[in-house]
Amino acid sequence: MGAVWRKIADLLAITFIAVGVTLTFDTFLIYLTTLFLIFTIFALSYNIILGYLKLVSFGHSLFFAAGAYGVALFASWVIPDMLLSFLFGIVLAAVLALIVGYITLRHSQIYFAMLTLAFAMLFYALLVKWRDITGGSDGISGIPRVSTLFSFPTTETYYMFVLGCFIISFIILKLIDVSFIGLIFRALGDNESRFKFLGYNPVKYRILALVVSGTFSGLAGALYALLYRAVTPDVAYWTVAAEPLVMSLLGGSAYFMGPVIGAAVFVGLTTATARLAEIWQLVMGLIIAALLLGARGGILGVMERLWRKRF
Amino acid sequence: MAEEVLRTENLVKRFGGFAAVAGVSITFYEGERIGLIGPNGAGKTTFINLISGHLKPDSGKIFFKGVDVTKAPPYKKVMMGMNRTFQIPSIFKSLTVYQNVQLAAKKAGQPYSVDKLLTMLGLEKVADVKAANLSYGMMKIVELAMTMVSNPSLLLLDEPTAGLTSQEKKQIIQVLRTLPERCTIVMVEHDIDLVFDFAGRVVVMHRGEVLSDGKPEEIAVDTKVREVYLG
Repeated sequence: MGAVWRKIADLLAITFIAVGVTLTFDTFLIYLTTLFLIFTIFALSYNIILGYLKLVSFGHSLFFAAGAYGVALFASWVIPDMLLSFLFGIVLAAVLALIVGYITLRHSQIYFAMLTLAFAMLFYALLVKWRDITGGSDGISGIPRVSTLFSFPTTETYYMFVLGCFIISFIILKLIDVSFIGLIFRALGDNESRFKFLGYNPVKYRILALVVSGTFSGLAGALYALLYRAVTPDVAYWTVAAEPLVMSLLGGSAYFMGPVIGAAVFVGLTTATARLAEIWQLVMGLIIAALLLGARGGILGVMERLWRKRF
Repeated sequence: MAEEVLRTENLVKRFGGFAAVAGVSITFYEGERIGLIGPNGAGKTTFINLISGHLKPDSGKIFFKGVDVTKAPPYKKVMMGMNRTFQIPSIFKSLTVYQNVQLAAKKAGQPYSVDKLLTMLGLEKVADVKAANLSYGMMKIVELAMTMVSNPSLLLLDEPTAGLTSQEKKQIIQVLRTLPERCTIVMVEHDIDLVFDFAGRVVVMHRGEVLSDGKPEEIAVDTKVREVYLG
């Protein structure tokens, strides 16, 4: 019994804090926690590629934006129903991940990074230029948070929907982490040569990892669009993909909880320094430099080292 | 005559102007224990890399169990029953010994159970140790375990005992002797005594070509081989 509790302790802790936040009735705090939950899903999904496969992707802005624009386009052109457009956004991201994966994942390392960047920029250009459908640089606004069965008119009520999505996503991604498929992903990132010489097809498993990763990035994007009830092409700009990268490195990409810690620090820092105009970029730059020069394992890596020194 | 397992036809691999493997045609049969020897740069490792699909040949053909596998990717050859080890042991260093062997066993449909194999190879005590923390010799044994678990019909070993203590060498040979008789083993090795003890057939390579091929006692008295090795 104790073992089970320990296994889900991290989820319980986050849920406990997240529910506690609602009791403050502080709209800004609830809004910030919403952002944290969305970015945590994004960063956790990104870390499947970075942490397990040891690949850097600049294409995750594409999947995030596919989720966001999937919601907006479906709601404004097909049926203005929140649930259906939400699901459409996720499916769109999954399909695009499959296509991008099929084309890019035969290539390794730097070629993969550059190809995903190219696709991300292509998608961004498409959203800006295809004005009649996407609204160009103005984007799409007035996305409904109403479905036949439910509606989430306020930030506080929508927060519960995001929290629900977060818990489901967290459980699925955690199950992947501890299951045999997680082991397969880690093995592939560790030693591709031996992976092949055990009879595993590396391209197949990379595509599978990217589809899982892209699907949850799309889910995060869909939640993001519904939070603001609007999207602009900014969500598709390739630097968006750098955010989960920084979060994962910040928390420690070798750990399942790394992206979670990273997202919390990232959201906290950007909010704390946002009033000082562009200074958050300076802060972020300094942190990244410090991480890469002195603490490659991220926050959790440093904590583990300190812990070991004590005993 | 035993059944043919692997056949190459005029296999060539060039690195720039240098032909590392310069037209090798050879056939290996079921259950053979083959020692592949030759001076440094003779093309032994390149030859193994071509057969296993780690490198693509410039020309020539490779048949495995009668099927043309010249262009087949490594994982397909593995599924057909070919496996290999590397000079520098290639294992998953960030995973535990158990996880390493488990990954191999699952893919192979588990002809051996993971626990049984670990016990058989004396690895049960290090099952939960991260592979990166093992000694070099232990890494080689783990790699061998991972290739054995699929019950291969052809096992290619690239210097299985290089860099090992004599104790560890004995252990490796002991492990190899547990392999089923029908498994064909090709071993690249510099330890001549070991090769002559283990192999029933010795192939000598020199400058990318097969210089001599025969029983150990024939090779031992071959004047061409002596010339290559002695001067």
